Amino acid sequence: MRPTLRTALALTVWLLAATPVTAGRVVEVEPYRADGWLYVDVHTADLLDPRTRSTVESGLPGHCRLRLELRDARDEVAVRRVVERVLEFDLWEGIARVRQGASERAFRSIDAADSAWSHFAGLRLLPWERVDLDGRYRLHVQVRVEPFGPEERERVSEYVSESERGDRRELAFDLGGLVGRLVGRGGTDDDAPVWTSPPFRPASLPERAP
Amino acid sequence: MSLRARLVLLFAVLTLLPALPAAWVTHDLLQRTVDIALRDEIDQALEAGVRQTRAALQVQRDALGALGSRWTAALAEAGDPVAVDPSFSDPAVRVEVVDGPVLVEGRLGEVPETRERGAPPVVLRERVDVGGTRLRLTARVDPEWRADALRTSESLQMLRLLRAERSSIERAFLVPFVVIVALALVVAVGAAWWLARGFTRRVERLVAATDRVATGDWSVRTAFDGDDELARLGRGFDSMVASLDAQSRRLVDLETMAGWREMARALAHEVKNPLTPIQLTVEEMRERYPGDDTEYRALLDECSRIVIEEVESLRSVVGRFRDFARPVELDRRAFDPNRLLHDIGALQRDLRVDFDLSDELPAVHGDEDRLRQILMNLASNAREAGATSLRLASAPHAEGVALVFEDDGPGIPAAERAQVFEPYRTGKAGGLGLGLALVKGIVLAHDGSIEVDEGRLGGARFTVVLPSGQASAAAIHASAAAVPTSAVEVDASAPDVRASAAEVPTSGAEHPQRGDGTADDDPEDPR
Repeated sequence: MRPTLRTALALTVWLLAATPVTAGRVVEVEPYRADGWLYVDVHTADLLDPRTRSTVESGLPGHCRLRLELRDARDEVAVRRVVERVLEFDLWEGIARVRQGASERAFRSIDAADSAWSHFAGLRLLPWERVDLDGRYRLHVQVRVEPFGPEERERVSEYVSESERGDRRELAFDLGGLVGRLVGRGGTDDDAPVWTSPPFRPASLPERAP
Repeated sequence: MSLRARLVLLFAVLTLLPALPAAWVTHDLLQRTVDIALRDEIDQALEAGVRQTRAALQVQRDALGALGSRWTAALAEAGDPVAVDPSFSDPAVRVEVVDGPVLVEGRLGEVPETRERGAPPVVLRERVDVGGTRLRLTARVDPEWRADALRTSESLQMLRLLRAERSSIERAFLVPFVVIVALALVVAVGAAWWLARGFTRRVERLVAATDRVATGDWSVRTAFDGDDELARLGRGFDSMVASLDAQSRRLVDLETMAGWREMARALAHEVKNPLTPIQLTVEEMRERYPGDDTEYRALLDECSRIVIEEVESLRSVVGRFRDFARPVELDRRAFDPNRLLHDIGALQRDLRVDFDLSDELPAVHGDEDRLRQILMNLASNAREAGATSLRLASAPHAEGVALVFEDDGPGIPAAERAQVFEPYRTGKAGGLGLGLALVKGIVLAHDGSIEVDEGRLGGARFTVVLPSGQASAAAIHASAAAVPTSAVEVDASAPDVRASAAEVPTSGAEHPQRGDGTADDDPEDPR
């Protein structure tokens, strides 16, 4: 590819790229056996970066997505789990909440909630009988945090679009709509780095309560 | 780099040149605008506003708590909630026994069952528990406060969202600009390519034509369409090449003619010199015979007569060679070429003559007698070739006037047309082949040209192009200025070209037409 074309392509990609998501740090991954299942605990850190904290403090929810893959010796995915959590702060009650699915836990401060939503405990992976006890497994973990959920992106997109439309109705084409759509793009799991655990043998894993 | 590539590059640069500072200004303005819109002071002010609204909410909560304390005291004193005199209570606050009667109705209005997530509360609640009796106090939040709180918190949230998405927003605003510039660039490059293609294609054709001319190919023409400068340049080039081609041909013809004339002059000189001694010697031999042998005398007389007749015949031939080689001055005058053709036609008593004459002919500046002579000789040749009708035509020509002489004779085979004007080429027994060479010499002396092809009547068609009055004068002037350079080359083997332009033979033309292949008498008119 010619340098000029490559530069133009890179510029276009840069212009169209979505905002990079924040990637938290995976501190520890602990697989173990419990109740006839293979479980894992994942400890992460630095999920609440300043940008996300800023939006959470304003009452907006922060979104965390953990993607977990158990891979065998042939690097084939044995099981995949995705966990999504939301951290939100009630401005008027002064309470922080961490939601995961239908469950919700309340905390008196954002910091307390942060420590809770960074710890993914008791993630059930595989029934023990389906686990090759002498096989070698690895865990691939991706964690990404966004200060935006789809609703918030839509709000920003509409806000930008509406302000443009309101000011420049004489434009023949919908510049605001275009800008809004470009702003409304979200990140993907591919944006986040993958943390890979050291290999382990299920037979050597401890057994404890989840 | 080719001209086309340079033009495309130029258009691209001209498109980008204003776009780059515009992009810089746009980016700078965008950043400044975003800086202003998302500056920290606004964030801090909105955050302070949120704090203030939270403080105001707390004041309402505290007031409700104080009212709850008073109800606690009153309930402790009365023992029964129904016995409490509620006059001390806020009439806007609803007071009720949990799972019991309402003690104060309050003014709550419609209260939603669930609280909107993240939104300020619609009502505040306080619980009082005294001696197993539980009271619930409910107060509606000030609607104005709630609206202000909602606006402030949403503004803060939107500001935080925008600050978080700042880079994405900047890019999103730049994308349309970049797209527009890219489209403009594509359009500019496309237009440049299209325009340059139309321009450079003709330039390339012109360059190729010039290269071919440089290699001696005078037949090349650009044939540009249109009326722009390039088209005019192309037509000028074509005209120049055509003119150079014609001049080149004429110079070659003149040079060739001069060579032939020099050869004829030398031949005449070499043949003429021994004729008189031969004749005198033979006459001397006859007169000085001393004997009286009558038979021998008769033989001697007969042989002498034959020799002398042949000598006279050779003298005639030498005369014709000398006529061919002799420079003759033209008596140039302006005349009407149509009148000349009419005169020629009127003299052809035994031939049918049709005229096709143009009314828009310029006058010809030339020797009318010489031109009449060659046309008469063409007519004579046609008649001798078996023609029964002639067509005489005239028409304006780019170089002056075209005179067309056409007959219905057997014509000249295409393979022989190129050599038909060369001297010493004849199909007639006894002919010297000087006739059409003389015709061409006269035409060349007029700065004209002559060609032969097949005519409409099926016979030969001679087209004589003569410069018109002005053109002829210009040609004479140009010839006087330009020929000496060429004449240097001609001088090496032939008489001066300028002299040849003035050489006009006095004899007529010879028509080499062959109809049935039989030989005709020599039609040349020696003088």
